[in-house]
Amino acid sequence: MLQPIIEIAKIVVFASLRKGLVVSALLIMFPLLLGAWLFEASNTGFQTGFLIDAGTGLMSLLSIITLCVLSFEHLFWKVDQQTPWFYFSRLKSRTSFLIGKYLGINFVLCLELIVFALLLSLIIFVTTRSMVLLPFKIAFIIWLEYSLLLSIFTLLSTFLSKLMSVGMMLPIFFISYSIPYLKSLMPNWFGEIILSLLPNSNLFEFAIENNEISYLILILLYSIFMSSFYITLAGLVLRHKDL
Amino acid sequence: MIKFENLHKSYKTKDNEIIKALDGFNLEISDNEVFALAGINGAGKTTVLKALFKLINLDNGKIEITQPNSLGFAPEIPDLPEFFTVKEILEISCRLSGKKSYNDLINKTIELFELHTLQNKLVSTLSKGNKQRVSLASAVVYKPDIIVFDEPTSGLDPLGRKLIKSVIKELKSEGHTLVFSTHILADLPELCDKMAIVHKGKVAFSGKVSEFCNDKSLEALEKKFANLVSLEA
Repeated sequence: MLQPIIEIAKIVVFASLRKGLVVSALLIMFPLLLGAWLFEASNTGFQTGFLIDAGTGLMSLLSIITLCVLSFEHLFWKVDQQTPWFYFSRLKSRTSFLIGKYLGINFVLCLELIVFALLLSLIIFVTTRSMVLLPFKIAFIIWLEYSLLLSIFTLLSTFLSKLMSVGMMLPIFFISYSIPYLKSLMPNWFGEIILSLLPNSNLFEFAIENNEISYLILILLYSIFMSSFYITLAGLVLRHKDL
Repeated sequence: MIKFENLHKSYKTKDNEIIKALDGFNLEISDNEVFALAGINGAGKTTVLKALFKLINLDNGKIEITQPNSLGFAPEIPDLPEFFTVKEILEISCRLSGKKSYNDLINKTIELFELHTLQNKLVSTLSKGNKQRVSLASAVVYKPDIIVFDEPTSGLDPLGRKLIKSVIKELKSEGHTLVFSTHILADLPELCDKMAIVHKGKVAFSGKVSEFCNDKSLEALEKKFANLVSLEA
């Protein structure tokens, strides 16, 4: 089962790289970063904090765009068009299709974030001659959060169209930032169960502000657990679907 | 052997109308046989193939496959991953089906399908006919026991059709079981050992081409086919 999964993930990665997705994201990122740096350097003097804020903001924005582009292309294969026979006639398990696609998109996202973080650190290093690791930490947290969103996208792709999925993702995204508030509105066991099945983005926000390594490990485990949950659900839905 | 037993499958349309794609489909295909499924559009041929690959959940009935469970499929419209060369597609196909050593298989397939000049070209740059050839090649490269082609000659020029016919003969000589769907009746006498006419989700006829029609001319085949289909209507 592992070989087909790796193969599907490789198809996603190579197709994305050959299309120049990472390069085009960098081409957008580079002038923006350079502009922010020039602005800071020429007016008020170089401010590392400002550049990190602007850079990681861009990182987050471009990563969500990448996630949507890749999901649209690889996950929402052809629910309302023809069956992707190339995969399904060769695979023993439909879930391996989903896992392969998920891992492939995740890898591209990870690669892109590493390059962004490197670029940001490089600009800071060139200017201040000091190595800052904060962009890497933020890139890691963004990656974990978007991996979780990707797993939800994967689930939605098994029964909804692209448009409907985006429509569903928006409320899920807002709910994910309102979990503590919603918990206060539903202080019973039913509310607790329902809300614990939804992604909690506040944990990732908190991790950015918190410097303890144990907290990073905790959100890593949280992201893996929740993503596995959504992918398992996606596999169950796809297994019973007519293709 | 592949045995289709009393397959039933119906779909609900958007207007809540129920369409019976398969309505008591029974068929047996022996090992090392070239078997054609002929029928008009919407007869149920593709639904049968989807059922064979477990891509649809049947309402009723079962499919038994006695050979080792290894299947290859080439759809009518090729859906090959883009941004890969022909050779890479063949490699991917082998790895997806779980093959670990495949260089010899790829070289033989390139030879069989005459893909030498195309092997390093990106699939996205190929013509429709060549994409179809690559799609067929990717379905056989890993040597599945049962090979299924959906309308294999439909997008091909006369030379391409000639090539596919020789490929089918070669695969039969290697001991594969081949099932293909077609609505090109002219291909039947030359290519298949047995055939079935699928109509309205049922098998309207199953047997040798000679049993279907003694006269192997296209005109006679078409006349017989039209008669059968209109009788079943």
